[in-house]
Amino acid sequence: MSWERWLYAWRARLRVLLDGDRADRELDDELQHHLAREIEVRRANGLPAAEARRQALAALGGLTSTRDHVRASRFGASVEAALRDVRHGLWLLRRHPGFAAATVLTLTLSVGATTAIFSVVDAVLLQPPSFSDPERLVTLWQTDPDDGNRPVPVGPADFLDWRDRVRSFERVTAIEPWSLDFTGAGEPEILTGSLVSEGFFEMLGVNAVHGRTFLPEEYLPGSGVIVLTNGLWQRRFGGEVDIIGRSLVLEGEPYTVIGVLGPDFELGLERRGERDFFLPKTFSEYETSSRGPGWWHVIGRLRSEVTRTEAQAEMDAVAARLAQEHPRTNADVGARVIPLQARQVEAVRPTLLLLQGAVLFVLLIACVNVANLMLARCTRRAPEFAVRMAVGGGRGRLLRQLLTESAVIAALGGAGGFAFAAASLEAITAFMPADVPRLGQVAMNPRLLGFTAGLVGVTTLACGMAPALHVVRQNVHDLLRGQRTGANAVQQRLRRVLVTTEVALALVLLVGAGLLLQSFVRLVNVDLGFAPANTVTLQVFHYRDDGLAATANFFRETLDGIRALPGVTAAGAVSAFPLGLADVTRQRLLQLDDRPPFPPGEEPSAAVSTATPGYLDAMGIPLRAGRWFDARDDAEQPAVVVINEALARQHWPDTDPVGRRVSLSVVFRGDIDAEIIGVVGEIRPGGYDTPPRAELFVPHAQVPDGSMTYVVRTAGDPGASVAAIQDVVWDADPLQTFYSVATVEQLLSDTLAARRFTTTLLTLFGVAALVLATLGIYGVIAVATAQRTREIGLRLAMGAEPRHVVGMIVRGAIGLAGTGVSIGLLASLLVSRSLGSLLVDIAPFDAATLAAVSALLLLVAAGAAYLPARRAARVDPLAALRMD
Amino acid sequence: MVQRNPEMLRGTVELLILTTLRGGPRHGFGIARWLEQTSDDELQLEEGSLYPALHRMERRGWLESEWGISDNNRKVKLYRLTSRGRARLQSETEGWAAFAAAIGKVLRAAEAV
Amino acid sequence: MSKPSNLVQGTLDLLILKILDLEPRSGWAIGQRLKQVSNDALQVSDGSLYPALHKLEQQGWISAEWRNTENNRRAKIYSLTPPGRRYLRQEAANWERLSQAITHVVRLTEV
Repeated sequence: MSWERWLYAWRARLRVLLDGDRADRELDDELQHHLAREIEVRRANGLPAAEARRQALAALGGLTSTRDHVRASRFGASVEAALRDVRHGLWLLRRHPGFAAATVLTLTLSVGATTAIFSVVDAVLLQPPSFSDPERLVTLWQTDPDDGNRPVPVGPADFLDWRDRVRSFERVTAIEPWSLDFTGAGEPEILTGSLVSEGFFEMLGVNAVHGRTFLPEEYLPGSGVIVLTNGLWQRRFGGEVDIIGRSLVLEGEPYTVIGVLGPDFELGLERRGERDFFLPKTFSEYETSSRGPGWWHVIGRLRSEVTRTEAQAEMDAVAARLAQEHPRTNADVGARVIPLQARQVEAVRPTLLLLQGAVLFVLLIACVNVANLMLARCTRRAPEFAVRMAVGGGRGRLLRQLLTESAVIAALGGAGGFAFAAASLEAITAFMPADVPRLGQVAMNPRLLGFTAGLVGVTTLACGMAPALHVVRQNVHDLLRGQRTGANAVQQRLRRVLVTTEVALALVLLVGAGLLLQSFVRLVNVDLGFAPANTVTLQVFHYRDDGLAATANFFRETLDGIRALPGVTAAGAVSAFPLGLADVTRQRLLQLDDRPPFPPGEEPSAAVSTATPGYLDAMGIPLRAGRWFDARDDAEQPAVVVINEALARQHWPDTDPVGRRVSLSVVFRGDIDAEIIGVVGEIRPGGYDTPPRAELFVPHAQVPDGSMTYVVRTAGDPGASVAAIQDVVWDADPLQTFYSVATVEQLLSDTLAARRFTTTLLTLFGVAALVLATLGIYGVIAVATAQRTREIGLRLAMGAEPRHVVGMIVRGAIGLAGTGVSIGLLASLLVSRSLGSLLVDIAPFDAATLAAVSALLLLVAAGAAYLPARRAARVDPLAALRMD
Repeated sequence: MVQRNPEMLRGTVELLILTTLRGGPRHGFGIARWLEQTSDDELQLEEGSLYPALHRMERRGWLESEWGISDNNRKVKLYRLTSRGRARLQSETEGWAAFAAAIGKVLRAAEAV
Repeated sequence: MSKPSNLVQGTLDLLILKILDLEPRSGWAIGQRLKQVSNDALQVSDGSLYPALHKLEQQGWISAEWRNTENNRRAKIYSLTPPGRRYLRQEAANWERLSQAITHVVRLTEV
């Protein structure tokens, strides 16, 4: 088409498309003009006016038909007709706001929720890490025979042997968690990062977004180069590009910044690792001989022709050889190959899969609901269709209009779903536990939106069309005569099945949500063994070159200063804070003075931590016997320990352990032989869902440690004291950094984040399911009751009491829901098992939960039926009988 | 070659078929071939309009058909004119002449009359 | 005379373009002109005229505007666009060739 013609054509087409009404008016004017001229000609030939008009009209073949012909031949005729149908559809929706709201709401909820959850699942579970060929990246672990053969980080010398001996990998690199005090500008801060061995970035296929990564010659002592993560660069350096080449002083050493990584770089192996920086790893003499389960993370890239199974086999062989060569350290130590991606998402996988399941349930319920509503609408409108067909409205046209109406509903629901998904996605990501990998990359996934919208759209269209097809195929006479056709009974039965299904699905979801909710409530009511309120913790690593005595003094002085602060009621410090991010507990073997020596392998053990006076009060742990440490227990005095109830119960179930002696080995002191001076209450060390364990405390003055957590109890808001506490510490050491500052309640809440997230979402889904099911029941009962108006009128006329009518209808609804409840109970027996580890202290088949949820659904069914029932009972019997 | 306008051939299919069969029985493909050859490829009947037209004309009694053998020994349906078809050809031909003349008159009109 | 409307249908566009080639006209005037020139040999129904006009307009071959006619009536007046004029030449030539071919074939057998 030449551009010139194109211009003419589109001018004409746009006129029709943009203002169809005007085009129609003009067409009428044109045809009227034609008629007028024709009539003139005929009258000039002597015909009477009426005859002239008749002939002129006949010549034109009728005004209407000509108009329709022109319209049909016009460009965009189909577009125009579709728009007309859409307008009609919207008008109908406005006329039946209940139906419209119910359907659109259903679609909005289901499309939105499904898309949001699937977007998260997709980004976290399904999207590969942002490295090149991520499926060939694997993590390598040692298995610890002392720890149930759990995969644990690797010892340095073993890594070096792996690197030299294993052929399955293109490259194997080690990552050592590291931290550095950053005292250059502003508040001193502890930076966490990693030392990485040669070829790390090349193996991942990652480049710096600014500057570069390490050169081979920089993996040497004293190269003094550092690569920053995007997070640190933004947080501390405002994202300025001139950071490249600048020098940073970290723990007194200068480092030159050579590169900054992209925002999507995320290894996700450590809960708080790799946060800030990367340094090149150089190996020390000590490391080349340190074997057995260690603290290094190892990542390898499989050769393209090697499968993971083959690599595992080779690693098994190498581990077996190392066990032979170094039996003291490596006996029974295995090696494990785990894909990087699987390792990253391991912790969140069950949660996300559960949510995915829940969301599918909601989607199913939504589809059932939409099907139901569309069926109900069709039943109600059958007489309208019949009339339209009786007066000669084309079936095709009727079907097309129904299709458009369904499409309008689907489109509105889809648009609502899009908005809902966008809004809830933000809420979900804000609400999700922060250690979920790739959370920052979660975004609305258009593919998924398309999929769910498509699925629900197809349901809408199919359910909108199926009954319509049925109606138009029926004999018009049957339709007009009345609604009591066989098809109606079939539809009614179908809709009852749908509602039953819906109730069953909702019950399963609600039971799941109920079980999780109860687990949650039971958990937070668990006795922690300490008092979390009004307590703040500050974790520090105070390692200086001035000796252990100085370390002990530092903590004694700072604690004295803190206790003197206004509002502080108690203060102490402990090496292994129960809820600490860095688990620095040391498990030690014990020998007890009143027992014969235990044979090797059978020694009792306890988690040993160093604590200061005041710790017990600060934590709110009760003293059961004897006393806690005080100023007397210093380095000059004989060694003393305090044990907890769990340890006391294990070894002195019937006697008082105070005054007994216990020997163990502690850091920096070697073996000590100490007197038990007190017994304290047991606590749940990792928060609500960890069991108490045997614990033993040594006094900090006798066994000083630089890695400590201050625990400070205050009279009022503990957060308000943080600045004053930090000032006290900085008075003693201006360069001291704080690894983590948080109230105990925050830390506790963090331990529940994943569980709270799951529970809340599942509860929301349960509620959504309940709402949808209620809508469904209401819809079915309302239509069924409306169809029975005549029968009800007859009953009322025969003297039935209105409340009997109400009772009859409500009983019917309860019966319907009852069937669904029974099926749902059976299903939930099967499904609830999958909740598994998420349940605390409650069986998957908790009778109380099952009964409560069943009762709730039956009640809701009765409520949903009550409204239409009451409406029916108020029917004027005579009017009802005169209907039809 | 200038773009063809199949629309213009609409309405002349029956005339062309009748004309072709005047020379004796032919099968469908033979009709199309003869027309092409005789008109220097100007008249090309598409199968989509040829066969429906043949069946329609047979139903109306203008043509009759029988199974025969083609040049290359294939079983084919041969069509021949009936007497009604001959009469029809006569009127179609006259109609065409009048129609072509009228169109020609419109097309050649230089000025409004 | 056989089914002239069927014959005409294929050439209606051509006829309309040709009539508008002489001067812009209203739909009614085009219909009048068709009857007049062809002495009713071409029975174009008014009903089929308007769809054809609107289609040609939307294909860009003709354009329309509302004008006052001689007796001060408002009428929609169609005129040929420049591309329409070129299209007419081409289609007229096509018609010439096609009609001659048909006439040739028809006469051939009559002889």
